[in-house]
Amino acid sequence: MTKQLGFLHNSEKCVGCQGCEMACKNEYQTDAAPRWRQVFQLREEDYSLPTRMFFSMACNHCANPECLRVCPVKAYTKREDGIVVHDHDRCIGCRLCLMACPYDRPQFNPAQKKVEKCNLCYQRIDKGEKPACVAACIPEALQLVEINEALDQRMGVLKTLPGLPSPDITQPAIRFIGPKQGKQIRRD
Amino acid sequence: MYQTHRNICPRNCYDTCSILSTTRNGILISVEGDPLHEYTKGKLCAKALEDVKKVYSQKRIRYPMKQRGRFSGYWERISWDEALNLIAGTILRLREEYGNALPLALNKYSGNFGVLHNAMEGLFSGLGSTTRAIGSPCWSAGVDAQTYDFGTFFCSDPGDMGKSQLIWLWGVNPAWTAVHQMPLLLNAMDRGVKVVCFDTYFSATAARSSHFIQVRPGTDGLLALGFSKVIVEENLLDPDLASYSLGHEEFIQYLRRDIDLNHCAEITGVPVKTIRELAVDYAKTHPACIWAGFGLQRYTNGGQNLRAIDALGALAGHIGEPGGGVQYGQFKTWQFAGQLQGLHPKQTPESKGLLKSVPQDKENREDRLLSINNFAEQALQCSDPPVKMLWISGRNPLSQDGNLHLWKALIQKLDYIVISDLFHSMSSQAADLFLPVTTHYEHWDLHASYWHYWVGVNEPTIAPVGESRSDLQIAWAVSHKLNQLAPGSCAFPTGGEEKETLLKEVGPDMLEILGLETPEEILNGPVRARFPATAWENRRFKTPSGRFEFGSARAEASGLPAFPVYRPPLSPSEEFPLRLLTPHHATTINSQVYSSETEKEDFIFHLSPEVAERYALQTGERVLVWNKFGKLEGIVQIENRLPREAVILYQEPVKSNLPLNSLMGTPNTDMGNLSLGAPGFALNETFINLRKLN
Ligand code: SF4
Ligand code: SF4
Ligand code: SF4
Repeated sequence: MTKQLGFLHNSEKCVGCQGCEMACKNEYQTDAAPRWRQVFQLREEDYSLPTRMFFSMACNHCANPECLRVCPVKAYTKREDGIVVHDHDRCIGCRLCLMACPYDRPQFNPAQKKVEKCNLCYQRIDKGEKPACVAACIPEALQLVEINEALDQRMGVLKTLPGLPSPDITQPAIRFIGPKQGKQIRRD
Repeated sequence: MYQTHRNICPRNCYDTCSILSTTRNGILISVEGDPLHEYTKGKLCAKALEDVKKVYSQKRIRYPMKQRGRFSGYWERISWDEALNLIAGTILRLREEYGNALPLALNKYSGNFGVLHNAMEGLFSGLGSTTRAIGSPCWSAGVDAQTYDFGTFFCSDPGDMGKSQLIWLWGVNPAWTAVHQMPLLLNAMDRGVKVVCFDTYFSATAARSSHFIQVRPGTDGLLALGFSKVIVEENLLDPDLASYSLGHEEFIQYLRRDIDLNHCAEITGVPVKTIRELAVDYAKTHPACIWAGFGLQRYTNGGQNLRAIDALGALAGHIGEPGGGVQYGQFKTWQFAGQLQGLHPKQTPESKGLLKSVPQDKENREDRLLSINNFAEQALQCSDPPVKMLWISGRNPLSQDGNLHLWKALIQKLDYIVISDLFHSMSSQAADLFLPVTTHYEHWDLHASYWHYWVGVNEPTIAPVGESRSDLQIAWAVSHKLNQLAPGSCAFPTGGEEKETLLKEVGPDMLEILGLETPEEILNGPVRARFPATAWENRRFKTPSGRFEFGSARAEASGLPAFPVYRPPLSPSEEFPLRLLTPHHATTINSQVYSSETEKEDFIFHLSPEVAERYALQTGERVLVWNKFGKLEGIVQIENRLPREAVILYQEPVKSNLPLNSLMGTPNTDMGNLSLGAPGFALNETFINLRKLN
C-alpha cells in the first residue's frame, strides 16, 4: 500500500486561534477571500460548548478525491505520498471541483477566476519540513500524520465529527480527537 | 535574494514574541517565530501572522496628510517639510502666547511598546514643562495591589508554572490573550495536574480546563476571602507565616469575624461546598499557582480583589514557592536607561519602566499630569493656561476612552491636533495633521515583556513604506525644525542614528540583569534576564517591613483599607440593570485590528438564556443597548454559561461609526496612584439597559 499523508486535529487542544489559517496565508500570501485552511466551530447541539470548541480543516487529500475525478482538464494529481496537488496553471476555473468536494475545500479566487487549494505544503514536505500550518499551531493541536491502521486503532481517534459529510464518499485523510468536557460547576 | 531579520512583536500583549522576517529583494514576504526565544518557541499568534498584509495594506497611510476640516475626511497629501513647519509653527506660537509650554499636551500609550517610541516623551521634555497623560488604562489597580503586598511588582518566569501541581487561572483567558502559555497548561493537564479556571463567563480557556468556576463579576476578592476563611477553619495555614509576613493575625481575625461562607456563596455565586473543596485542595497541594488576569481588577474594588487573592496565596504558603505564587505581571525587565526621554539617572528601575511618561527631573520641569483615563475631562478643566495643542501617539482615545462626549468638547477647544499612526482611526478623524509612522519591520527598537523575562532588539527588515518615519525620526525632525526656526527652542536632539540610540538604552542596569558585557551583544538575539525563576523565592520582600504585608500602612496612608477586606463592586440600578463586560477577542488588541476578514457587520451582544428570557429575546434579533453615555444597536446571540446579570460584547472589529466605548463612562479603580500616578479604568463597572428593536 502506498503512503497516505494527512492531518490529525485535536479539538481538546485547539483554542480556535486561527494561527493555522494565518500561517497558511503568511506562507503563500494568498488573497483575502480564498481560505485554504479554515477553523470551524463545533455545533452547539453536538457538544454544548458554545463557540468554544473548534476544528481546523484544509484539503483532506482524500484517498478517493472527487475533485480529481471530475476535473475536465486534469488539474488534479495524487502523489505517491497521498497529497492531492492542484495545478494552478492547468486550472480553467470551471468550478466543477467545488461542487464535487464534500468539504468545500477547493477555493475560488474571484480575482484570478481560478481555483486554488491546500497542496499540503508539498515543497516543504519534500525538504523534510512540517507544513506551515502544523509548524505554527502553538498548542500542537494540528499534526501531520500518516493515515493507517495503527492510527485508527489509537484510543480517541475519530474518522469524522458530527455535522461533517460521511467519510465514505471520498475517504478523507483527516482524523480527529474530539473534545472532552471539563467538570462544569455552574453557580446556582 | 532572500534575507532574514530579527523583530519583536511590539503590541501590548503578554507574549511579546520574537519574530524572524524574510525579505526577497527588499520586500517583506513572510514572518515566523524565532526559535531562539524559549518562551514563544518559534511560533507566532494569528495576529502577527497577518503582518505582511498589514505592512503593505492599501489602507496604510504613506504620506503626511492634513485634513481640511476636522471630521470632514478631506485629507490632502503634504510634504514632511510642510508638516514639520505646521507643527513647529504651532508650538512656537503657543509657547510665545502663553509664556510656557503647558498648552502643549501629549497623549501616548501602548500602540507600540518599543523603547525608542519614548522619543515622543523626550521631544516634549525638550520643549519645557508640558501637559502629559499619565497612568494606564489597563492594569493599574493590580500593580498597586501587588506593590502594597510584596513591595514591588514582580512575577515568576511563566515557565515556573510547569512545576505546579495545581493551577488556578483566575480571570485570565490565555487561549485568546496569551496563547504561548497554553502548551504548558495542556501538558500539565496531560500529566494529571488540575487546572481550575475562574471567570465571569465560559471562556475558551475555561472550555479546556479541568474545572470551570463561574464567579459573579467584581466579587473575586470576596471569593478569595471565602477560601481564606476555610483555610483558617481547617487549620491549613502556612506554619511559617509569622516569619515572613506582617499582620496575619489581624487578617485571620477579620476572616473569623467578618467573612461568612453562606454570604460569600450568595454574593459570588459559588456554592459553599465548592468553596470548601477548592480551598482545601489549594491549601493541601504544593506547589499551587494562581495566575490572576487583568479583568478582575477593572472594577472600583479591583485593587482589593487582587490583594485578597495575594493574601490567599500567602496564607496557604504558596508565595515564594517554586511553581507557586500569585502571578500577575512584572516590569523588572524594563530597566532601560531612560536617556531618550530625559529621565533622571537616579530613578528606580520600576519608574523607569512603566512610569516612562512621567518626567522625574522635577528640578527643571513641572509637567502638568493628567490621568490617561480622565484625560478629556481634566484637560477641559485646565485654564491657566488651557490645553491648546494635542499630540496623539500610539493611541486611539476616541475609540478606547470613556466619556467620549467630553472628548468631543475638548476637540472643539483645541487649536491643533496631531496624530501619528499607521492607519486612520476614530481618533484621526478629529486630527488636523496625520503623520505616517513605520511598523516594527521598518525601524530599530528594543522590547521587554511584562510577563516573560526576555528582552530583545528589533531590526529594520525593509525600508520605510512610503514616506513613513519612526517616532524617533519624527521627534528629531521636529526638534530640528524648531531649532531652525528659533535656535535653542527645543532641547531634544535634532538627529542621530536609531541603532546608537537603542544601544544607549542598554545601560548598566540592563547589562547586569541580562548578564551581558556590552550593549552590542543584545544585537545577537533575544536574551532572558537572569532572575531566579521563582518570584520572592527567599521570602524577603520589598515592602517597608521587608515582609509580605497582609496589613499595609502604605495602603492605609493612601486612604485605602490597610487589609484586603471585601469592598463590593458597583451595583446595577433599576434603570440600567445589566452589567456590560467587554473582554478582549482573540483577533484584536483593543482597537488594533489584525484581520480585515473578521470585521463584523454588527455588534453582537452575547446573553445568557436567563437574560434573554427576561427580555423576551431570541438569537438573531436586533436590540438597542443604552445608558446615560450613549447607545448602540446590535444583534443578540444567546449562549449558555454566560453571567445572568451581564451582557458580553467582545472587543471585535465592527463596521460601525460608533465605538463600543460609546457606552462607557470613566469609573476609576480604587488603586493605581502609587505606582502609575493615576488610578486605572474600572471599565467593567458599566451598566446598560436593552430592548428589542422591530
Ligand atoms: S493554530 Fe492550532 S489551536 Fe489555533 S486554530 Fe489552528 S489548529 Fe486550532
Ligand atoms: S477534500 Fe475535497 S479537494 Fe481535497 S482531495 Fe478531498 S475531494 Fe479533493
Ligand atoms: S498544509 Fe500548507 S497549504 Fe495546506 S493548509 Fe497547511 S499551510 Fe496551507
